[in-house]
Amino acid sequence: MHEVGLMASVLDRVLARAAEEECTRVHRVVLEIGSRLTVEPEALRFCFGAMARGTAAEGAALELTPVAGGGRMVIRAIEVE
Amino acid sequence: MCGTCGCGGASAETAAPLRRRLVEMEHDVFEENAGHARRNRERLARLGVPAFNLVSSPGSGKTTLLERTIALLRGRLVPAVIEGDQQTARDAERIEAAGARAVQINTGKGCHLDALRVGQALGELDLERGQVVFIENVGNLVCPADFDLGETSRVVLLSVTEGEDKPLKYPSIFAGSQLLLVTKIDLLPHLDFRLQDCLDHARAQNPALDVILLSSRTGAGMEAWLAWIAARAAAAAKV
Repeated sequence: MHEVGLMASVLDRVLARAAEEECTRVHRVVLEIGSRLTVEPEALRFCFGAMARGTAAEGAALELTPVAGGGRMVIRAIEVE
Repeated sequence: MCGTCGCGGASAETAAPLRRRLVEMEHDVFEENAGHARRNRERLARLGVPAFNLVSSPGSGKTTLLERTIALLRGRLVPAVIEGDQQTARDAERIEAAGARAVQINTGKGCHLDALRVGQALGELDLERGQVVFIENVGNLVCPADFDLGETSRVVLLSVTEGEDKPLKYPSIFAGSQLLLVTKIDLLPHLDFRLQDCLDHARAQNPALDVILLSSRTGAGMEAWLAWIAARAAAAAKV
């Protein structure tokens, strides 16, 4: 249920980093998801897609990598242009 | 070849894919909350005050348990309560009527308390040695599992009217708690609740989980609960 807030943080961070890199497009976001987290991958994708609309990350692919036992959600990489 | 339509013409797009690059990052989305939780834990340790994060589904009896607990702690420990709900100050009013200081946090649309808001509430409580803090989280067995508040222990309540399979359906919250309070046990004779199955399911998620069976209504199990609190208060005061 808190996927919206989490993905808002992810998007903020991704857009800030893309701007630091002087890039105007984000094509892909690689996100590591600890298996202990109570988040739903489909909800994460939906929230990200909806919130990214109208930003440099519009249409970007969200690559979710599950990590066994973890309680963290870590942005590992972004593909930018 | 033009990247747009595949025609043979050169275009600005041809160079574009070459500028695409992967930027490595290492940013934990929970890091901000974890930092606030760390500060809360340090502050509580400095004061020698334990804090218990009470989590459960709505209607399991958290507020009623706190009302009874406050009454029974009189003369032993001074309780203070942080109340989390999406709306209203009803629970804080109940707690103050029961005789404890309470700070209400309304999360609005939020489904859990976070460490930042709990830290602000701890500041408002003017805590001192000899006190004990109860944090009543938003009624929800899912989201509060992901947010460390800086508490001493997390206590999960499960009322016997909810069904014994809750630990299987919501494993994270049971895995991350130190104590399970099975509440409303006075209703057991009227229900088909399989208590042993419930405890087996809970311990399958967390073998170290302490368990107390209680009823706020009859007072059954309340002494065990108070003893559990007192042991943690004594440990916190020693540090």
